[in-house]
Amino acid sequence: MDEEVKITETTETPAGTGSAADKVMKAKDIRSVSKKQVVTKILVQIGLYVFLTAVAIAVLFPFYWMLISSFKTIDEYNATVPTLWPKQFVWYNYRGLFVDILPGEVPGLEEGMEVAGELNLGRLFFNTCLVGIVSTILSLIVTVLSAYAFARLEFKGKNLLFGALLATMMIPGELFTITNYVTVSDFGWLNTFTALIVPFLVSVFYIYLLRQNFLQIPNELYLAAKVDGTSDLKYLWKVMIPLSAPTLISITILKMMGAWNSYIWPRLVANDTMHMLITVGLRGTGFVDAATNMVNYPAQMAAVVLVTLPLLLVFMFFRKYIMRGVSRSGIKG
Amino acid sequence: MKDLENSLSPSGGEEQRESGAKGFIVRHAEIFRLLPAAVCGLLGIVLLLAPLAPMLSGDFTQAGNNFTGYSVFGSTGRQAGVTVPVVLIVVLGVLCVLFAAAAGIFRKIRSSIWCDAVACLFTVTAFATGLGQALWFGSSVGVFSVLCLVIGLIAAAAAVGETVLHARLLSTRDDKTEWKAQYNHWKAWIYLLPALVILAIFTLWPIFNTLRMSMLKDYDGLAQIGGETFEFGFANFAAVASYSKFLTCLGNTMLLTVITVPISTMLALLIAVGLNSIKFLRKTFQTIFFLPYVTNGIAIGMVFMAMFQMIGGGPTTEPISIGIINNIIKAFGGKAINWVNAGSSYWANMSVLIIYIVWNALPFKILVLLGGLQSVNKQYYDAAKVDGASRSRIFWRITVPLLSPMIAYVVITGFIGGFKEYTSIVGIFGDSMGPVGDKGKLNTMVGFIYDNIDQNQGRASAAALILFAIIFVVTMINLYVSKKKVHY
Repeated sequence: MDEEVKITETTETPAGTGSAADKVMKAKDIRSVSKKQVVTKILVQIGLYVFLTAVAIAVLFPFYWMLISSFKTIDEYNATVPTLWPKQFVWYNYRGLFVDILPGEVPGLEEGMEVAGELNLGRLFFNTCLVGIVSTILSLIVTVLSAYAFARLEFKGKNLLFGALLATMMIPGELFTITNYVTVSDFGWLNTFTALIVPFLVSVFYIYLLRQNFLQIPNELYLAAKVDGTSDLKYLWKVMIPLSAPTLISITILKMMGAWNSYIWPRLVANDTMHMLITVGLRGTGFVDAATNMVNYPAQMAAVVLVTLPLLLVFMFFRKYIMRGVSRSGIKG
Repeated sequence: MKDLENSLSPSGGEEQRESGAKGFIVRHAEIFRLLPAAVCGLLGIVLLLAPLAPMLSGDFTQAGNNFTGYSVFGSTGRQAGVTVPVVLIVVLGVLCVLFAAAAGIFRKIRSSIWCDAVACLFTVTAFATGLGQALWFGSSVGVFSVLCLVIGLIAAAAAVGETVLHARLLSTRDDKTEWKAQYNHWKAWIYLLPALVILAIFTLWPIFNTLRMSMLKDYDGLAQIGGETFEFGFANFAAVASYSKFLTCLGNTMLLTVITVPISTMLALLIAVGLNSIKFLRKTFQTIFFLPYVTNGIAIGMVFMAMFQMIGGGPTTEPISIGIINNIIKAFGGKAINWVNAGSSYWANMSVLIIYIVWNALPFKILVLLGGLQSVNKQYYDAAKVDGASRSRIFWRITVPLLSPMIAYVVITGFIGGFKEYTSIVGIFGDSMGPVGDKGKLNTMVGFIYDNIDQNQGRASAAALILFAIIFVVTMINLYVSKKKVHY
């Protein structure tokens, strides 16, 4: 590497003096250097691919391990030398998450073995989807209205209010959680869906994101619509929302992902089975086998696969929108 | 219509010339129009301070029955009802202050009939709350309840009177366009209303309340319902700072942050530069590297736990299986390590956490840095190539300086996220925040706050404020350093 620099530097200095012979020399040197460069470039490229592949394997390995473990029998999982591919594919780890498997019903499953204990995955899925969908819809309505007010409508104190809202983004969420927990208990909202939906309905960051998008829409459109006698709401619905659909999709996906991944708040306010969310249920279940008093890892991994899979599917389809939203926020969900 | 105007305008003129009290009001109508807003503002402030007042006077037994009573678990009899008016008061107070700010301070003196009507509505509601409170508590009405009632009454009367007056004034003028502009003005607030109400309850109020709770020694909502009083002062902060468990949490958090942020940033930078200089398979790699971001932190933490876990056995007995990671280590000629089981060493636990946190933090950093790299002007690299600069030189002299804003961004967000680390530890070690038999060994600052949240909200608040202060200071230091080093 350093050699290259020296070569080119030495060729560069006489080039300035500019005799014909020097120029020929220089051209030759450059050609030889570029040959060298081609070789190093190929080597560097190979090195890069090796490095990136190694990192990719490190990134993918947990997913791979989770997936194959969920198809193993518990005996195979507990083998002294772990297998990298299941010798025998079994599905009962998944089935056991939704229904009770009776002893001796499935070959390979020892008698008295419970797969997932009290975990009711169907109910958890339902709760999480309900909370996710309702909070996303309400959040979108509130966000669109406020972003519109901040972007298009004129009122005194607009910038001051907006600045104050942005300032609250600096405060760590834990500071709010303590009081919100007390407030929610005071309202009698413990163990209700309301407690899971309402407190985080308004996200200053989403308002900010959407406002920036609204501001990019030329004001002439608004004025033209006004001349035609369009009402604000109609303009918002017919022009602003379609034009900022990508941002709205980003917000929708991030909000849904937030509901799916949230743990701290749901664990605090909704602990009963009727309102528990998926992550809380997953972490709260021991997957401990009553018979052997050992953790049933294949069943646990099956549950983890079912929690992870929807996210990965959403990511496959909406990759662009997720990345766009994420690169601006720096927050998860 | 015209006839109506003609018939009205002379009367307006007459009003102008009229003397006495009525004339005075008309001549100084602008000042009077401010009245409801000003009263509303005052009322709002009083209403906001009302829950704080018993705390300052130190009369907590009565306070439990009157204003504060943040009954955490209170669900029986009268005490369950106590809490609701308090929250209502706060909400109304916030609304009133907002209204006053909007109507009085940031607006022109001229107002429209609509804003007066809204002012009227607010004040009447506030008045009704005061009245409701007085009726509800009967003989044990506090001083502030009475005060609210009186002020609410005055404000309501003033607002009603002013509205009527203003309506008469407006009808004498032909300022329909102005009227419309004023209406538009108010529409913005209507659009903002849902967001502002929720923010007031769940964002604005917690800011005040956290400060309040942190100043009351060992504050506990449940104990307060029982009539317990709390000492006012900085006792919570002193208790938190000298609490050995807190110091463990602080140490763990600091250590995790200081180790994971540089590692993940360096690694992400290398990967981003690597991705930027390849063409074939770039999209595939990019997608793979982003995958950890779209996963559930708890769920994948459980996978990491399973990978590092030794199955069966204990500190003395041989395990049935040493786990996949230990098998890989053995395949490369290493020795099996007790990573996460009972009796595992602190640094073994820490290594697992660091690996997991870095694994989790990479996607975001790669995304930001790669985005930055792709927006770098290619001319710099062409110029460097012409000059024959080496790769390492290009990296340190062109890539890093041009990328420094993005690097600063990921480092700052990394530090903030690092100080709030919690779910990755729960994911791996569960609620016990440590390996079996060693509860709380790996607890963090946020974990400490949540441990105290339902028993000792005073201490939790103090810890939260300390956390906020640390994050603030670290961010300021980061910004200061990046101001010196970052090339914009």
